[in-house]
Amino acid sequence: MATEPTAAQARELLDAATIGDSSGARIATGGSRAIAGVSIAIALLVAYFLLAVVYIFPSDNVPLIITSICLYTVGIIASVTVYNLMRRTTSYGATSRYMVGLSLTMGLFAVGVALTFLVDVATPLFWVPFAVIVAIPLIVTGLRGARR
Amino acid sequence: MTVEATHPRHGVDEHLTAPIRLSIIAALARVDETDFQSLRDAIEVSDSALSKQATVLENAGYLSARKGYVGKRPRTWLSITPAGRSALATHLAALRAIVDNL
Repeated sequence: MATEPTAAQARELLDAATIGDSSGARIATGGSRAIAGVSIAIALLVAYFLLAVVYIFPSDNVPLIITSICLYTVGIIASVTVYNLMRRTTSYGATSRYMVGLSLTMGLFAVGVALTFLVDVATPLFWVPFAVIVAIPLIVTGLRGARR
Repeated sequence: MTVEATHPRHGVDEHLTAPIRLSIIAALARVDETDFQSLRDAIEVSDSALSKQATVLENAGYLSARKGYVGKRPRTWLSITPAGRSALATHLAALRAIVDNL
């Protein structure tokens, strides 16, 4: 079609674009759910690990410390592996949203670890809400795509 | 004297005048990337048709194809390039202008 499309041809092409757009939206939905799932899993694991750093690491219980590290490591590897095996589509913007959420969550985790050296009191009234706050960015960015 | 190109036909992209190619690029605009099989099923075309049209779009710089493995299975990932996204927007605007100018 080297010349200008007629109005009928233009309409036909716009219909093709609409079909493509709705097809893309359909496959993007599955991708959004997958990245929401892995985001929530990783966010909860990071929050759990922060609580482990606060409550388990200072103890003398070496087997428990090793178990908590193993749980975290296996959890992360399992989440990422399952996601990579199952994923067929990454919805538009999901990768950048995930990176933002992960950066914020890991930044808050680092702040939490730094606070363990500054705050002696290991009160759950502080650390449990803080662990929830650590998880929130990754959960929110993960769910944001899934809700679209 | 320079004549400014304002007629809608100037925005029509020759690579996107085939309905299948337009459907492919419109679908890819909705995702960061998707695998060949998912896109094939979504727009309901054959392997060979998608492969052929995807190659045309790749050669035009509108589509990027990445080959990888999931376990031992080969998988091809497709995504739209920034040039493809821009071309799609211009092309759709031109088509709408042609329809509206009736």
